[in-house]
Amino acid sequence: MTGVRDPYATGMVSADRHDVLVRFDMVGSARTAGSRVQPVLAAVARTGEAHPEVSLDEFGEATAQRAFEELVGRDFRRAEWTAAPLALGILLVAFGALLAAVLPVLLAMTAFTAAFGLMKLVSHLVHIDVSASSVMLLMGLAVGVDYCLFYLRREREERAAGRDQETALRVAAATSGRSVLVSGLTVVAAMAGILLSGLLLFDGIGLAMITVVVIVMIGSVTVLPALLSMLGDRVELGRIPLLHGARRRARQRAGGRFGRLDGASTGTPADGSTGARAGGGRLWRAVLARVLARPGAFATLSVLILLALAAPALGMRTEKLSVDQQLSPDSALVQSYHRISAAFPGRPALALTVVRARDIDAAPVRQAIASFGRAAQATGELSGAVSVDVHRAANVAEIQVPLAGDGSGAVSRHALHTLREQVVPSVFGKVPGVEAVVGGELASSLDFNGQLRRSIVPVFLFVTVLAFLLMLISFRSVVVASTSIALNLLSVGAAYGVMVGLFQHGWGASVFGIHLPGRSSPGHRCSSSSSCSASRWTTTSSWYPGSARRATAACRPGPPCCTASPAAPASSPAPP
Amino acid sequence: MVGRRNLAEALGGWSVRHRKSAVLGWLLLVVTAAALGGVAGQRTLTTAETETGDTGRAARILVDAGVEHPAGEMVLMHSER
Repeated sequence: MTGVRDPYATGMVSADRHDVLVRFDMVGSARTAGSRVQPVLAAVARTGEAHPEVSLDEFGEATAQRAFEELVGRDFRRAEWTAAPLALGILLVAFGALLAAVLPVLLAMTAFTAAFGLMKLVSHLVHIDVSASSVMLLMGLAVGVDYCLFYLRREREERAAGRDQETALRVAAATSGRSVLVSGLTVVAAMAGILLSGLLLFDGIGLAMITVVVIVMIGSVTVLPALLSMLGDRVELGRIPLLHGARRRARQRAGGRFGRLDGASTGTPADGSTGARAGGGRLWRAVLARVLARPGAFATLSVLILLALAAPALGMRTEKLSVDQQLSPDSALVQSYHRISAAFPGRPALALTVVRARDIDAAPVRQAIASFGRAAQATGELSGAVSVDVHRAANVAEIQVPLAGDGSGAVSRHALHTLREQVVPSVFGKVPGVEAVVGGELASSLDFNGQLRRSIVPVFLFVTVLAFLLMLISFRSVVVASTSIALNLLSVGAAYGVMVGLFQHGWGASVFGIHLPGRSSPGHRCSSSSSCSASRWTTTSSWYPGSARRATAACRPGPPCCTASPAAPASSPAPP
Repeated sequence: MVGRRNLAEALGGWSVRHRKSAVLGWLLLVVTAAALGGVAGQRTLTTAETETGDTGRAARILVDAGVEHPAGEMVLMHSER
């Protein structure tokens, strides 16, 4: 560390004279400071132990960076340790056999390992945020398990129906395998929509997700059938007696036409498999029978419910969250931050104006910088004096402008707007060869939001049109394509609505044990960059189950399927 | 999209006929990709790259000019006396 400022010399002593603030800088690049801050933290801790009469709280860029890196790592490990066993549990229930349940998880995990390696290579072309690995793991696991489950179930069903191994695999490849390809390509196309957001953060996450989906897709149509062929019926090895028996009995009871209908109209492999369980099957058939008796009424009802769920989405607000809003309020770091803010309140929100010139020392440039300070002060929207840092060698000047207000509210926003739209153009616009732009924390949040708002329509259009075309080509039916797009849009809307309700309004937050960001102004803060990506993620990933569902419906042979989807004959070879 | 001859069926058929190649090929892909990625390492976003608009422009000017600020830290000392 370097540049330690004596609090008594710089006046950093609190009004009640119980607190002093010692400020210092970390040596070296700020980018790597987080990984080098440990000795400083240790030294501060030792000092605290040696002097029990004072309490010490440290906060800063390096400590915050360190906390985030730890958090991302912990999140990743947690995702790894909860998602895979959870998927395994669900698969055990679905198949009632150990090997059949392990296979999808194994495929998903190897696919993720390969994709993670490729993602690192891709990151040399487009830098990828560290958080991408967590998103990638969950995406890979979800898609991998689903595709595999889908394929495996179809093969098992064909075997159960008395077909030989070879035919069963061929049918599974021609139907489920094809659906996997269509679904995979649709997901990839939807992810490509993220690349239109104009934000590098999302570009990286989008590329990471595309990588993992492509790898999973390739694995599902190549190595999976090879493994199934090697294993043969041994795939049911390690049967769990209770689950397996229940499944078989349910299948026998359901039998014939109803069993087909069950699978064909629910579509998703997950639904189909849980539906095959003893209680679930009966319940599902009862629901289905009621719904099919009055399709119009139930369709209207469910559309209305989805619309109601989607309604809160209209009031969605996004903003970049500050450090204390992103970390848990119970964390030591955030508590330190709050103690420092309480002892030394009123740290103004700074707008950082960066001026670049061919010659920063030229008389007109120096005059402009001086008159910028006066003009900014004259707006009456500042909370303190303007300070200028000139880097002569680099021909760059940094001007710190303390904005009025709390740093995020309307007053600060207005001050920033005045600075950007009036002061900067009027002062620097006339000086040739000078570029002046206004950044800073508030500006960063507003710019990010602005970009998000501008890109949402192109992204949505791109994804919708492309998905529609893919469906149209795959199923050769305008009705199937437009129905699935409409249903998907409805579910995306509902997902947005629930997200806004949960994170922005805090409905049911206590149930889920979620700490809401910005509790100081309840109900009006939502969505850090991570929630923004989560929302994008919702957009794209929710296409995926929908497309898979359609694909399944279209690929199951048998009469009910033909009525469910007119495209069925074209896509299913329906072996004798 | 996938073609009239059904690409998935062809791929699945090949894999079933060449089971060992398919499985070994997959393992090879996984190991190679993981090894290459491990050697190359991940390039993460710089602070300037997470920004957009004017803020991004400002950050970029500072990066290009080689102006770097050290990471600032502060320690609060509190005494009840």
